[in-house]
Amino acid sequence: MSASSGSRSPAHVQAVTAILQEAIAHDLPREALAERLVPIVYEELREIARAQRRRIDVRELQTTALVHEAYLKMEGRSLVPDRAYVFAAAAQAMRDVLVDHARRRNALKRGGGQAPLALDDLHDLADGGSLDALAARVLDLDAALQRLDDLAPRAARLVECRFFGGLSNEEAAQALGISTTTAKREWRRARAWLHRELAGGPAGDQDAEGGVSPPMPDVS
Amino acid sequence: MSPDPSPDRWARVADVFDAVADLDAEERAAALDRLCRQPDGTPDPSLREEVESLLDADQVAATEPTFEVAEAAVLLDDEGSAEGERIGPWRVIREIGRGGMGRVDLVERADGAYDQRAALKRLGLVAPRRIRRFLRERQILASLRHPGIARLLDGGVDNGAPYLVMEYAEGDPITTYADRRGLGLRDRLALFVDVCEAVAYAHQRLVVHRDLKPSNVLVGDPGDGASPRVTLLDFGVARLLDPEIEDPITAEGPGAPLTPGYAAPEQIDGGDITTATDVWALGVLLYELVTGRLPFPTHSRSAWVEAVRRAAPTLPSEVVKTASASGTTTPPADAHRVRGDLDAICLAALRTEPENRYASASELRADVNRYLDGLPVEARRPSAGYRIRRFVGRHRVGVAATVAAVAVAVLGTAFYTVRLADERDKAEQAARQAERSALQAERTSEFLESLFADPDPTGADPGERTALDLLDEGAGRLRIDLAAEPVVLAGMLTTVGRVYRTLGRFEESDATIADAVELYEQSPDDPLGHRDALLQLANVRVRTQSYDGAEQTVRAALVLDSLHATPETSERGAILNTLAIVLDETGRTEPAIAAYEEAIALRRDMGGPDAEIDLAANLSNLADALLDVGRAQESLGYFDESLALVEKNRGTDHPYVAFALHLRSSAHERLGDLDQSLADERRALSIGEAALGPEHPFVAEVQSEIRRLEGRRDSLGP
Repeated sequence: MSASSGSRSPAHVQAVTAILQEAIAHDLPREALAERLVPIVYEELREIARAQRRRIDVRELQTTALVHEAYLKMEGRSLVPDRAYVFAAAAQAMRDVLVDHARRRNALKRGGGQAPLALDDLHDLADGGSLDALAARVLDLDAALQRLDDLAPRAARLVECRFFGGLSNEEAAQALGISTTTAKREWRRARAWLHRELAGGPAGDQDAEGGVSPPMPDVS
Repeated sequence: MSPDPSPDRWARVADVFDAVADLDAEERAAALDRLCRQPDGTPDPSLREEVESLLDADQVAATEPTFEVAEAAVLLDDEGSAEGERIGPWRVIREIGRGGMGRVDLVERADGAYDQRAALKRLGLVAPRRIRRFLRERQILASLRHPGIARLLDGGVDNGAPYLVMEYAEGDPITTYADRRGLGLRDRLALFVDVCEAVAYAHQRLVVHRDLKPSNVLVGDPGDGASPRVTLLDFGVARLLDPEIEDPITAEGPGAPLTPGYAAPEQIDGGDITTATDVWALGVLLYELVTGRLPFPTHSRSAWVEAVRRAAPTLPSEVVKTASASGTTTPPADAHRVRGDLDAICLAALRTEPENRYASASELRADVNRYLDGLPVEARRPSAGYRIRRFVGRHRVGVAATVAAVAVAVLGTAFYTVRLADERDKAEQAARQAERSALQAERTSEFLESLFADPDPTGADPGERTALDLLDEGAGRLRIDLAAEPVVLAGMLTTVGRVYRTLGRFEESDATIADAVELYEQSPDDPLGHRDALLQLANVRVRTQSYDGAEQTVRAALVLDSLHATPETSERGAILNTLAIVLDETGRTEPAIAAYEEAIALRRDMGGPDAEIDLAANLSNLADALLDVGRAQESLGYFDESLALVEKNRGTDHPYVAFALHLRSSAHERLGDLDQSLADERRALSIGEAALGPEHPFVAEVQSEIRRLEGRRDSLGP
């Protein structure tokens, strides 16, 4: 990942570094670290959203880059938090923020009974209707990931890192402490599994009202 | 839709998928034939079907773009800027935070009806039929009015989404505050006591917080040099969001808030939420304040959940010791100040079963206060050796009374009552008294014997039963066995109540002795027993600082003593001492001094080592009161005499001597003799360290006094 700072504010890097130091000093659980990262993640994601509205192409995910830069700053110190732990927490924070927003948006528009969407529908997001579809999609993905977590926890973490954390295969493998070959295999399988799950509509939900995601157990 | 296979089944599917995924169609079919088989070699069509459907999905997925979080980020854009937005009568100034539930905004009243700024929190969607309950609950929360709790100002529903408006509190999370200011142990505990007090207030009104954690416990500086102010946020809000409770308010909320690290076992397992749930979270908070770490450190949720269910955190003192030794972080306290009492308090708050924890925040607060005051803590109750060692650490309330109570508890009650019986032989109703006393003595020894000899019908190891268990059982049996002999029962209950007091069980003590007083009132032929019970009851109430109740009972005891006691049987000195303490503590220092003086005059006539120790306590209490009204020279004289008596009766290296020196030091200081003041404290320190151990709070207190006095002396110059 490029560490070019450009738009990255030093204050944010400093904030993330402080959070990581706190995490190591207090031995925070991953969920707690994710919770601490939420405000920063939120800021970053909103920046991205604004840029997109102005038709600026944003490919680089600032938050992960931020965490990366903060992480690099800590190298050489006696205590550096475990990589997997930090990046997994960052990915989880992003997932939490997105799901939180998707849930709220979805709740506002309930009862519409939207048709399921394929992943590529995400590319057409010009109007509000697509935003609703996107929200539904994020919730479906979240629910499917929860099921995958029961089945193959490492695969679920990998998907979380790649989808929500925006990490490449190599970065995700490094973050999870597995070889890139293993990560690639795991990814292909998980992706196929998710695709099949999501192609079936609001999968795994017998609720007649439809579209209601199960309560997310790891919200704090 | 695929059936949800088990992880084992999935592993099998994954193996086959990996083996065939890169093969071309022809090879793939052959490989699937070969691999998709049962353990016995017969074909496994469902496995094959599963793998094939995954392979199909893989083919489509490979050609499609994947999910991009940067694209999903547009979900956040639909809110736009909140500034100026109206929610009910409130106008948004700016966003101030973001929690699990959603956005929190700083707001002001659009109509100017309230001139403070407030925090508005949105709670997500609510089903219309549940709005009424939301509004009702809101009323309950709005009735919480305590300086330590951010008040609920308003709550309503805006476009179907409920919101709450709370007092806006500025400050840092308590742990951050303590770390940033580099607060020491006592300051941290003082903040924690404030937190407990606010929680206790709500508990009295049957409101449980459910989500106590540092981000909900803010500490701010008022700015005018006053002590830091604690404010609890979101009191009871968690309940509004819990889908587990009957008729939940939220239609599909994000689940009951459950903060990893702070949530109690019953919150994870869906058990009953009670005040003990908050006690758990307070225990976590205390642990974190004392050690700088969470009690259940884990990087994964499952490991955390398992650790919480087992509820066996590392002892705080061990955490502190390890951290100090490794030198990576500076813990807020030294291990020796944490070992023992604070270990026990933390663990007593963090027991898996809610009923084994402190029942409420006020009990936890009381125990932390006991630690701060150098009193024995409830959490360590079963250890008798510790109790005796610790008594000298406390101030004021008659040392002698305590010594007597310990003697009763440890040496046995029989001796005490037999001695009373001897005295009563001389009294007018000698025969009846003797008979009753003999009976009481007999019952007492039976009672003691039964306590320690009776095999436990439950078959539990008797070694596991604490003195308190024995006492609870015994007291229950007494009430049955002695129902026909109310006066004897009353005498026994007084003794049991006294032992409860010794064990620090003030509530049980008060209740038991109050029962005895009632029995005496119904059978008025033992006025002196009645007097003893009243005096004991007053002493318990002094310990619990219930001075109104104490004054009433001690005055009743004084009346009975004046009417019925002979000079030999009078307890006037002890009664006056207790009365004087009550007067002193309630601001009536002059009458208190008079009462002490009379008690001292009475004691001087008695003689004997026990009376002299009583006298030493009276003298010391008097000296302290004189110091309060600026009569330092006289005060010093009494302190000198008190010290001499303790040294005469207990030897020069007894902890009471250290205690007396520590008290006398303040008289020297008041008289401007800093050198003598320091000399007293240094001698108190060396005796205290040898007799009580270096970790004793008394020793810590003396050390800090020495530092303070040295600082004063140095600033004054040579």
